[in-house]
Amino acid sequence: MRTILAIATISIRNAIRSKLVIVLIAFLLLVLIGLPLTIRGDGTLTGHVRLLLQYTLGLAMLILSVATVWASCAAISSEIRDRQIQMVLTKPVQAAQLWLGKWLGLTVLNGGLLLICAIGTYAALQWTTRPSQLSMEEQQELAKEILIAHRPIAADEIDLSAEIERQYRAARERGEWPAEIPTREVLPQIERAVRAQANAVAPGQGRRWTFNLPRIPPSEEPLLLRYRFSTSVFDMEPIDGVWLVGDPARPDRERIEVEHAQRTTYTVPFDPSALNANQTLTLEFQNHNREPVTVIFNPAELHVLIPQGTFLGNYIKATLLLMIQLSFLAAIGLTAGAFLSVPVAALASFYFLLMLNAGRFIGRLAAREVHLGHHHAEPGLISQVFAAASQVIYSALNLLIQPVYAANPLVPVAAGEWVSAGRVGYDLIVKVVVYSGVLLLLSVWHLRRKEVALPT
Amino acid sequence: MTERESAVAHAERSDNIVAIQHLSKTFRDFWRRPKVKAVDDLSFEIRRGEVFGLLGPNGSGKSTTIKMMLGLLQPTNGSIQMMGRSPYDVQTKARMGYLPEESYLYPYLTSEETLHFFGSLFDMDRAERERRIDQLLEMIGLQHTRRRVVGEFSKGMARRIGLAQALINDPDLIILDEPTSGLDPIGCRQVKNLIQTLAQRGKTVLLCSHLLADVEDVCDRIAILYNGRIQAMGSIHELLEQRNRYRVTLPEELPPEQLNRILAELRTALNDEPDIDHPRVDLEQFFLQIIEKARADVQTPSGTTPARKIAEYLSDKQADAPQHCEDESAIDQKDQDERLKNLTLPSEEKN
Repeated sequence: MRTILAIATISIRNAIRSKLVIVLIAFLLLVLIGLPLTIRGDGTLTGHVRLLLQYTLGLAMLILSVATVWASCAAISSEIRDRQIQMVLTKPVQAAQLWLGKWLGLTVLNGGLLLICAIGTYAALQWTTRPSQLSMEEQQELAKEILIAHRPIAADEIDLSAEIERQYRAARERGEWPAEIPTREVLPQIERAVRAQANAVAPGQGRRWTFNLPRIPPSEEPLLLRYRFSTSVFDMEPIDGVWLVGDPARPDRERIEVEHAQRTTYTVPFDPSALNANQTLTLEFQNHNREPVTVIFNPAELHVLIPQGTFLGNYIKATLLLMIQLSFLAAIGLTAGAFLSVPVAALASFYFLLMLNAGRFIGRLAAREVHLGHHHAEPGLISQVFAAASQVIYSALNLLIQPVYAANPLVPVAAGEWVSAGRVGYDLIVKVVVYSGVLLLLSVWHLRRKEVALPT
Repeated sequence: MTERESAVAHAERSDNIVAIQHLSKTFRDFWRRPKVKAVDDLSFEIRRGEVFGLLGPNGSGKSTTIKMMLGLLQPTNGSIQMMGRSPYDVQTKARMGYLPEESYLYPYLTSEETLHFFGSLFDMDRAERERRIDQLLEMIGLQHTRRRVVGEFSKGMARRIGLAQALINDPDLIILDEPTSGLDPIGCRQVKNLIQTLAQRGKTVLLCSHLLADVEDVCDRIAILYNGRIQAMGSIHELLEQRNRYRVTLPEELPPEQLNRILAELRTALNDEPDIDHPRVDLEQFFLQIIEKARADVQTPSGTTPARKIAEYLSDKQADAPQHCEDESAIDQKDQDERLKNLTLPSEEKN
């Protein structure tokens, strides 16, 4: 352990004295001070606070991610180039200790800088939302929308498999899809259409969703419904509708009239007494719009929000997730640096980082929801081979990336949505223990075979 | 006891601390095609407690051999046993000290931090590190630069720090690659004294150099490499002794008439004129003498300070009875005392 700590300490000292950290701190200060003073949201206080949370720490994280990748690529690679590694590896130092020491140093250094940024952003938030500057209404809105941790509960999923199968057969019988288009390409499209139909509300009609909520402590505080919808007409004006909250058998269920624009997220409070004894909630939307237009809800954007902890707890968990991400990036860079020279290792690491951020898109490519290139009516052999090879690559990439792909945790925090401790634990185990562990083994395997004193 | 453990135990008892058999190294290009054969079928042993010199011109394979012994390069063929173990074994490395041909130090660390770092790699506790660092810095004459970053050091000063880090673990086997490179004559003499002190303590030293005088001064045995192969190997005495020539040394205070009589007898016996000259102080000794005089007038030198004392833990002496290395003036005095008149005789007159 002493060896690992010594290598970690030396890495930090080198980074500080080589002025890398000074330049980094200068950039971070610019972000921490400059951004809160200059950002303008959508004119609302909540918009401004959301941007402050998301952009200030988000930009700091971006700067630290780039610095971490670069510094980690250089950590081993430049020591091989400058031959200091010859002085270290002739001491009783295992390749694993060298890697772990460098990784620890980078994690502590960048994690520390991120912590400073997180504290700075929190301080900026406190300053921006200090009570003396806000009206009571604004304070309540902030407390309800952002400065809280709400757990989003999605509606119960309806089993649509029978309907999908039925519509698929009907479409085939009608000859809507040419016979040469395989089922694997047709079925996802029909499934999407069926799901859209199941969550669409025709003019003058209603649609119900059931939510099974976890047991929550009794409170007078209202629960929240958050949703976003689109309509069958692209440029439709705000839609008139009514939300009916509670058991449909009850004549006195709460009625909330809304006039909302499409493709915008709304949060509507409702009385928690609407929950029945089984913690089940029924919500019904009735389309009362004067113009005949269908309202389409996306189940992924229709949630009941229940209170789950404090904003600060949520913010701390998001910061921990970012720190885990930085340590994972350090592991990627170190491993690349053990194999390649600094610029090549950095290029490879940034490419991997790019793929990590495109995890959702790669997932869709692997699931054939998205197709790249042109579709030919009758693809030739080369095209078919190319398509098959591409599919194998997308699937392999997806398998590699999906476990470590995670959306930016600052987005839910800025929306007042709960970040679970389970997600922090999952990231810790998958990114730090499993993936970084595999990268460590790979680096050790290579370093033990690498000739570090080859003549140049 | 496993086979490996018994092999290690046997090696621990045996006289050979390094055993190299049929070692070859071929450097290859990107496509794995052979480019240069740097070492070619090398076999030799280094015995416990000896100072072994590896000599050869540039590119003869000295450094490549050393780097294979340290596990920094992999042999193409052959085997290396360091203290009965593989060169990659951490237990082997814990008992070795290495000074590379250039001191590859971290330029942003101070000399003290550098030594602390390398000490930590041997799992030494802080108190022990501090004790040894104090002694080492004093030994190499850099105690006044302990807070200066090594990136600002001259090559000679960096070399001294490199030497100190090689000795911080009190190693049993010390591998020194061109240890006097970049050092001034005082530093060179000190390194040579240090090697002799270490040898007296039973340490094994492998000295790699192309400075023949350095090797001759301190080595017990040498191997001369050329083109990756051993061209000659043996003790300095065996290799350098000219068995068909003799040198007669006469006492210093010989009266002139007695000297003339001896010379006359020699001329008669040889029926020839013998080679007669006056002994000379070599340039190194002369230089050290001048510097020693000059040093007496300067209180605060800008570079290294006079380094007189071998680190206690290296000289194996107690703190209350410090072992003082022979400083330059002492060596000079000894040399002066032993100054002799030399007469070289033709070989055929040996009888």
